[in-house]
Amino acid sequence: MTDRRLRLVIAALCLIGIGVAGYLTYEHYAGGDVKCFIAHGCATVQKSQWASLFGIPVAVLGLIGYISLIGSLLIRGDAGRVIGAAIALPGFGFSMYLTYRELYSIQAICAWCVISAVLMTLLAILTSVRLVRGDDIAPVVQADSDGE
Amino acid sequence: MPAAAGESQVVVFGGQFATFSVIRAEVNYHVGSMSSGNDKKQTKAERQQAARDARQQAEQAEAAAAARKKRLSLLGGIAAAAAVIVAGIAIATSSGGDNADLTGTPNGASDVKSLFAGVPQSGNSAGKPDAPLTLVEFADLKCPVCRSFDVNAMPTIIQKYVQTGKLRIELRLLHFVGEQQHPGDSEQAARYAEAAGMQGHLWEFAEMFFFNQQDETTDYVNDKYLKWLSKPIAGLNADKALVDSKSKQVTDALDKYAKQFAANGFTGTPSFLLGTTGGTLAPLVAAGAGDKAESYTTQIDAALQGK
Repeated sequence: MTDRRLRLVIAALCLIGIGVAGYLTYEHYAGGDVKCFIAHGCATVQKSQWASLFGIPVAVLGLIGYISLIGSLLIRGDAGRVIGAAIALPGFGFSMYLTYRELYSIQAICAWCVISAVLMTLLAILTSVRLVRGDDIAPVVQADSDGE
Repeated sequence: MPAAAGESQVVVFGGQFATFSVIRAEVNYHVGSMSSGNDKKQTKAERQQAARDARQQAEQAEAAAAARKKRLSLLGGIAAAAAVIVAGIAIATSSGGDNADLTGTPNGASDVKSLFAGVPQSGNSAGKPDAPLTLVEFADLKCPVCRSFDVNAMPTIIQKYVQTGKLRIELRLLHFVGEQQHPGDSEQAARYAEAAGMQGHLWEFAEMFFFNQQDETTDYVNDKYLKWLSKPIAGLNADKALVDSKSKQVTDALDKYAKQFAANGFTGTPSFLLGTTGGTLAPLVAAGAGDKAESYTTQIDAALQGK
């Protein structure tokens, strides 16, 4: 997969993430009960002590994470790739921690949170691949000069 | 000028290196004796080119490997930093985030045990079912004024009247404290207490809650906390209570209490009703400080006089 394709997939996943985190943020401030499908623990999870980190709702943290990840795609070169991985990897770790809390402390599962955890997992993988692969413009230029 | 013709053909053939070589070779062939020296030169040039190419390729491969190694170590660094951040968050939220140290025994465990020893409990009530008088308390588990009453005055009332079979007490829980800042916190506590009542342990649990009540502006009620408070209460199955706390039966009971609270014109907690068991109950207002047993005992004594 080229760097361009990777960027597109990352952007698409981030957009889904913004949708999920945006909805949860809205519900948090509107004070409504989160509509849950499949599992029925969303309201419990949203109202648990782990729904906020240092007073900031985790939904807002997720929203910030997804938006800055999309923003990192606009930065050209290695800097953008490093920033992307530096957002996605802690995001993935934090998602895993929250999933652990859902399962063992809150004992309720929120489907929205599971979607976000899956998105963060994929994003962590893709941003890591992007970082290790580097730019694909350089090898293309090299191939051209070889052919001359 | 074959060579010149050859050169011009290069242009015609589009300047491709391969084509150029073929033409050069042809030109050399026609020139005859000069060709062998030129050939050797060409091969040498080609060899040098090949060596240069190989060296360049090796250098490029080396550079690519070095870059890759650098990127991998960069990724490793980011992953390590991410692990440290998440571990930090985990530690901060699991110790500092819980507003209580849940390793020891909760406060008041022995007081609560002795208060309710031998006192029959059922649903939201404690005391002999046929006790002449009934005292109803409307309270919110997170309300500090309720705590003052239930920790300071209620134990005396229980010892004096409930343990002696003269009074039956009922607790009707509301949940409004901190609903703005921490929605669901007080409700979770009320629901769990009502569910504990389904096992005949509501009063013990409520007293345990009051003995350990925390700052009303914080969010501290969660399953772990409720379980911890329940530990000293013999016979209370915390896991079952957690499940029951989400039941419709509990929802209906709490709705009913809220309606009764409003119907009596009460606006704050704790509020009380006193009257004959099974008969009409009337609001009871503390005659004095709300956290002193004497503010209630005179009125309870007076009501008992009439029995």
